[in-house]
Amino acid sequence: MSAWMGRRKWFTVTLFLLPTILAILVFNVYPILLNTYVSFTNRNKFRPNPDCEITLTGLLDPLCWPAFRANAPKGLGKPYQLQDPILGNYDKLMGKLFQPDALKSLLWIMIAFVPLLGVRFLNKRQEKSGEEKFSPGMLWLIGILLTVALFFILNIPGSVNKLMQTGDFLAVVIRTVIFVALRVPLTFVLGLILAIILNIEDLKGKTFFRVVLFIPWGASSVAILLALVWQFLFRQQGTINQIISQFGGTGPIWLNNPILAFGVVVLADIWFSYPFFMVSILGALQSVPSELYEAAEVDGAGWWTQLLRITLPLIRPAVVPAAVLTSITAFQMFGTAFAITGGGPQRGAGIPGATEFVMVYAYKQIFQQQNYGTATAFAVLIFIMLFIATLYSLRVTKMTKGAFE
Amino acid sequence: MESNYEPAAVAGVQWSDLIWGLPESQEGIALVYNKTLVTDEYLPKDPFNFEDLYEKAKKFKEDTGNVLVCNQGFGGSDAYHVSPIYFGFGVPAYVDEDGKAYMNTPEAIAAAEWLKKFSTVSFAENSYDICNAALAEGKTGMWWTGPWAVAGVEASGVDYGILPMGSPFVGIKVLMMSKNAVDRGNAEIALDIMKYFTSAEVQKKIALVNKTIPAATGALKDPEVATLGAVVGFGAALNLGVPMSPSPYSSAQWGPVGDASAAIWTGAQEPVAAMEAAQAAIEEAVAGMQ
Repeated sequence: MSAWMGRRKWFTVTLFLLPTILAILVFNVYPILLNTYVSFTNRNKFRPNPDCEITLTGLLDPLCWPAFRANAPKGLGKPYQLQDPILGNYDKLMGKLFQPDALKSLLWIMIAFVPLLGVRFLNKRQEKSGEEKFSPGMLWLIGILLTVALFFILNIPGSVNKLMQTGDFLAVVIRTVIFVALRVPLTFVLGLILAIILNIEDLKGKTFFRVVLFIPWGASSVAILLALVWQFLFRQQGTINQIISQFGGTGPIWLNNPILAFGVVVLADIWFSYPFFMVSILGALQSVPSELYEAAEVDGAGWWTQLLRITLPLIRPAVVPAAVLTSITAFQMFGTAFAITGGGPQRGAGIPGATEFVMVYAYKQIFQQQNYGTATAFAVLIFIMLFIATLYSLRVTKMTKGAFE
Repeated sequence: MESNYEPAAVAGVQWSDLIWGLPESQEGIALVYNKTLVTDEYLPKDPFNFEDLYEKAKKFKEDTGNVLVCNQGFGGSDAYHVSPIYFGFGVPAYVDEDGKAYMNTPEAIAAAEWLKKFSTVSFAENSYDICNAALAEGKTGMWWTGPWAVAGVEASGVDYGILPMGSPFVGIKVLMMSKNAVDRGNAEIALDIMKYFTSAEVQKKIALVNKTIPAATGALKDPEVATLGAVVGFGAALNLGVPMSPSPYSSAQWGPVGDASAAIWTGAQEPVAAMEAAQAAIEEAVAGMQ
C-alpha cells in the first residue's frame, strides 16, 4: 500500500477510518448535539414529545425521523418548544450569579486567596535571585495566617452560602469540590503512611498485609453493596451506635445530620480508594535509591526532614498524575453517595440535599423528575467547567518533572 | 357508577368528565397498634386531636422507654405517609385541581410545627422495615400504615387493633384498559373482565382473602366483609380521608412536600421556611406543566 499514490491511497485510508469516525459521530458527537439542543427547550415530564415542525427538532430528535415516527407515544401532553427566554434553563441553574450580591461574594473569595499567590510569587523570585532573605517555610506560614485572617474578616462562609443560593449549579458544584478537597488529600496521606510502613525492609507478614490492604480497591466491582454495608454501620440502630451505647453514650443520628452524613460518605470513599495511592506510592518508593537516606542520616537529618526533603519530592512524578486522576474520579462520584444517603439528608424542598454531588443531582433530575431541560443545561455547564479544569490540569501535570531533571 | 361504588372511589376515577377506569379497592393509612403494649390510657380518642397524640406519645416514652408511633413517612421523603397529619390539621389538599398549592396556609404551618414537635418523641429514622420489625419486637406501640401491612402484622403474632388518626389519602386501586386491548379488538372482553373483577361478589371474595377494602358498595356492606377487623378499622379512617386527586398537577406535590417534611423532621429547616420552600417548589412545578 505504501507504493500507492495520491487519491487511491487517501480513498483507502478513509475507508479504513470510516467505521471509527462513524462510531464517534453517532455515539459521541450526536448525543452532545442533541443534549445541547434540548438544553434550550422546555422538555420535561409533561412535554416529552417533539414538535417536528420546528426544523432543528425535526433534524435532531429521533422521534421525528421517518423510521421512528410511528413509535412516538401519542396523547401525552403538549410537545416541547424552545424555551421562552432562550437561556431559561441556564438562568434557573446559575442566573442569579450575575447579580451584584453574588459577584461581590465571588470577589471576596478570590481576594482571600491572594496572600497565597503572593507567597508563591515571592518564593519564585527568591529562588531566581538566589538569596534567601526569608525562609520559604516562614513565608508560607505568613501567607496561610493572612488567608485565615481574611477568611474571617471578609466572612467567607457567608459568601459561600450566598453563592450556594444562586442556583442549583453552584450549590452542587461547590459541594462536590469540597468533597474532592477533603477526600483526595486524606486518601493521599493514608496511602503515604501505609506505603511507608509497607516499605520497611524487615516487616513481618509483608505479603499478607499488601494483599489485605488492597482488598477495598478490588471490592470496587461490588462497590454499591459495600457502600450499603457502610450505611448499615452508621444507621441509628447500626453498629457504630450500638458500640457507643455499650460505652454508655448515645450516638448521633449519622445519616440525618448534613455534616455527619457528608463525613460518612467521605470516609466510605477514602476506604474504597486508598489502595490506589498506596500502591502507586509504594512503587515510587522502591525506585528511591537508599544511598540518599544513608547520606541524609550521616548529615544528621531526622526522620521528618528525610520525609519532607527526600521522599516527597522523589515520589512526586508518581503522585501528581495519580492525584489528578483521583480528583477527576472523585468529582464524578455517584455510586457510594447514592447508595449511602440517596442524595443526602434533605435540606428542604426544591434545593439539592446535603450529599447531592454532581452525578447524583444529574441522576435525580433525569430519572426521578424527568426535567430534561434542566438536566441537559446542567450537563453543558459541567462540560464547560471540566474542559477549563482539564486544560489547567494539563499544565499542572507538566510539573511532574522529577527532582532529577 | 355511583350506584355501585363508594363515593371516594367514584371521584378517583373521573376526570374531565370521563371515566378512566373501574375502581377495585381502596386503601388509606391508620394506626395499627399493639393491644398488649398500648393500654387504653395511651390510645388517642379523637382522630383530629394531634396535641393529645403528642402528649400520649411523650407519656408513653417516659413510662416505657419505647416509642409510641412509627411511620415510614417520618424523616423520609414520603408525602403519602405524612398526609393524615397535614389534612388532619385542615389543609384541603396539597395541590388542588386548578394547580393551586396550599402549603403556606396557617393550617399547613401548624401541621409542620406539630411534626417538628413529634420528632422529639419518635425514632429519628423510620422506614417500612424498621417499623415492621419494631412493631413485631415490641419496640414501638403503633405503626401508621395501611392494609397491605396487616398480613405481616398477623404473621408476627401481635394482637393488633386499628384506630383512625388524621385524614389520610384515600388511594384507589383501579383497573384500566390498555391500548393493546383496543388495538387487538379485545376491548369488549377486557371490559367484561374489568366489570367482573370489580363486581360486588368478586370484590367480597378478594376482601375476605386479602383483607383489603373493596370499592364496591355492595361488597363493603356485606355482613361478612363488614365485620372484618381490618375493614372496620381502615374503613373508619377512609371515611375521614381525602381522595387522591386525579389531576396531573398532583404529581408536583410528592417531591416538595416529602423533602420539606424530611427537612423539618431532621431539623435541617424551620417549619415556616420549609413550608414556604415547598409552596414555591410546587408552584414552580405547576408553572412548568402549563
